[in-house]
Amino acid sequence: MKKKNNLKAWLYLLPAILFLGVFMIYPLIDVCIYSVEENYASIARTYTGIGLGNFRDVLSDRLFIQALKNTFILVAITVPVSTGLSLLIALGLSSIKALKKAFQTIYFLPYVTNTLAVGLVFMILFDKTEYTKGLVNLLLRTDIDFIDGEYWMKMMVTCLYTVWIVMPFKILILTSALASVNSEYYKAAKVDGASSARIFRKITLPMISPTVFYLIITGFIGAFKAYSDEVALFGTNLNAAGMNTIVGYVYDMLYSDTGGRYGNAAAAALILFAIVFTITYINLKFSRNKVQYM
Amino acid sequence: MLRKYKAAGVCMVLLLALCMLSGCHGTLTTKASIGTGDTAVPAQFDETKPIELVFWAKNDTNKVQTAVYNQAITDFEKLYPNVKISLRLYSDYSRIYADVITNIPTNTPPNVCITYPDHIATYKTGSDVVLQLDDWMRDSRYGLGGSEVKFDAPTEAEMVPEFLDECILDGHYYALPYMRSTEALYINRDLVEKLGYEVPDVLTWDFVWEVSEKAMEKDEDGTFRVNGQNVLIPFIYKSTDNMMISMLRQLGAPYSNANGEVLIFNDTTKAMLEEIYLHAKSRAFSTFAISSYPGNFLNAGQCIFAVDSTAGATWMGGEAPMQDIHASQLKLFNIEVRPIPQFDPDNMKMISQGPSICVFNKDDPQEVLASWLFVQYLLTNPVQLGYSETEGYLPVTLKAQQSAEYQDYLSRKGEDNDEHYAVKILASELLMHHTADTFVTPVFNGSTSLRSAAGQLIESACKSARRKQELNIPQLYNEVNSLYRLDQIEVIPAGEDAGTEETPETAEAEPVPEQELPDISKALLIALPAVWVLIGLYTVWEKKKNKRKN
Repeated sequence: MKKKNNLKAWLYLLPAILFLGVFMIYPLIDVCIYSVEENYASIARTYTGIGLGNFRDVLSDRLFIQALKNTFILVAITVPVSTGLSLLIALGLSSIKALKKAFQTIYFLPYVTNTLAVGLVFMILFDKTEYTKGLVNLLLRTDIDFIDGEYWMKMMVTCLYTVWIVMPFKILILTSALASVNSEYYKAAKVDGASSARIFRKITLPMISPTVFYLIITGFIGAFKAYSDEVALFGTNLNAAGMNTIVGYVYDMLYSDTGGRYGNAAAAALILFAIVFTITYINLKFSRNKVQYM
Repeated sequence: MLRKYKAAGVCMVLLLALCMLSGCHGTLTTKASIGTGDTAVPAQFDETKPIELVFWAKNDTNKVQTAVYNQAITDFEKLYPNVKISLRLYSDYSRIYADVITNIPTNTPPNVCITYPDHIATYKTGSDVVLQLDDWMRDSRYGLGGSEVKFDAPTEAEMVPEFLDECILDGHYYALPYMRSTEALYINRDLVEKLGYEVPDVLTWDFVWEVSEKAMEKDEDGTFRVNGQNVLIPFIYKSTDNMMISMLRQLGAPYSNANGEVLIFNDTTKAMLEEIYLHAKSRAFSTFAISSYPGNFLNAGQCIFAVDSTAGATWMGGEAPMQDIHASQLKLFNIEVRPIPQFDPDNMKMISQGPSICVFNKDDPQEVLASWLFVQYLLTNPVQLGYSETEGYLPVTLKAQQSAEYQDYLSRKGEDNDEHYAVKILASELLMHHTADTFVTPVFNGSTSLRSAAGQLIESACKSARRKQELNIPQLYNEVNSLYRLDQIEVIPAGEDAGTEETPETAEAEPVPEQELPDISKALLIALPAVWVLIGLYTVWEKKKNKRKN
């Protein structure tokens, strides 16, 4: 009877297993194989040898180094800034009663807005054209070319854009987490005369730490996968703009002017995987002692 | 325990099966045999066999063009009821290219596709992927205008020879021209005359630069004297790729050769970039990538010289049928259409551009024959005339160009501002009268990158001027070279026929020197394993600590 049940269970799981196998496991193995096939020509379907040549090519490519640098800067700035700001806004939203719902809706709007539409708004804010200097330049009374100028100006716009795009989701999640903290703890703390800062450090933060931790992990992964935001701001030739990311580099390799360079694309994708996996593992490992799961 | 082994065994078998599946995607070789795509023409077209064709084409977001394609398909299917054609429309050629190169490895490219010869050179790197058309064109039964073809197809002699020659790759025909255009200089004559000049029949670069610089004079209130507006870009070039290529060709300076050698980084290029830089610095010159569509500025009276494709003529002029700016911004002015600026008006050179049609090889020769017949149908007068009249394109057959219908169309120039819009017909006539002055650049796997690099040189020079930076030519050459990976383009050694059936043994012929890794890569390669070692040590320490606690 137990054997029969086991068989039934496997049968129920079969569609999911097949789906995962075809769309996740098989492509993953495929990527690993492509990454060691040197000089793989996608159209001729030939390669010249097996080895780590693709990794060497990618790691010595000036365009990959630029993409790597851009991605790391983006991650280092946007993840802490967006999480911190979201926490502040969520705390603010939790402590007000009037117009709470209206503010929540306003803060959530960028999340449901199309990335390219947001890009257009940023163009109006920052882009210098023959007709206008852009709203920000007009307000600041400056003449800075944010979209087509110096590297750090472009990076600043990218970071602002990314933070603005990712914040609504974080605010929503954090607002829910804050609402789920048992109010009895706060009452008890107040009776003991604890200050607001102490209440936040000793009660609020520990209670919502699993959520904060989840947002940090997903924030890291999302920021490492950045690409469409950069396209919305700087167009498809991100290399010429000096603003390409690792995912953008992989895409360029897949659709290169001389045919798909799958080997290089796979190698770059695996390097990205190694970086994301390592950072995620560190987060998981070292936050275990700090995060308090109820 | 046994159950565990069983589960592990099943997992291993599954993993192995997936690995074997993955192994299907390539073969180890040092010599990539690309084949010639030379498939024999079937003796007879089997009209009883149902055949489904896939046709990928581009339209310029123009409904009339879509209607021309659909009508061609309907008419062709009436002639050959066993053939069904499905059309997939794209809005730009790079998307067609991306989809084709993705589908070639899985043997699912379309049957017929409208594309650029540069792209065909890349498709051709696959073994027998693109059909070689030499024998097909000359087949007495099914060739161009052959005896068994059920419609009035053009013969080889009825094709415009210059356009047909553009479809020769490695010594063979791998495509047929579909539409052709060139670039034209659209001029606001009123503004030129206001500045005290007459518009000559052929404008030189010196003339255009001189007038453009003069137009930069401003009134005391800060507006430009010539147009009384706050905005003026006297000279805008839409395609900087073409600008660089045309200038080099006009001066007889090297660009590239058929073997794939990159020759663009030379002294003539340097001199041209320095000149362009100066005019970009004074803001007398700009590009599409920096400013926007030349037609928009021209139609708003904010541009004097706009270089754009003749195919884009329907967007040029205050009364043009297609507009991208608000009606309140439009200015009415006398517009002239001239060849692009020249260095030597007696030896004119202008680029020939436009899409071609290629056929993809399939296992079933009947399917290939059906595709070939459809390609011929796209060259018949109804299709050629219908499509060319939608924009400023020129039909690629003499048969269509000389037809009474087309001559009537040309003679009705300016009758209305729609179908017979004067600027559109003038643009078509420009190419028709200067077909012998057109040129194309060598096509090879990587020629698209070289084109982009040519344009990037001008874009970067202009951006340096706008940022008030010095123009550092050696640095610019280096940046563009690595940006477009020009050093990685495979060069066929001199003396070897570019049309050989096999690519040379690159690995043996020219060993690639191993590059030293940049410091950032070295740091990454050291940091990642080091982090994992530390994680391991921490885990061991943690376990020991927990053991001691317990």
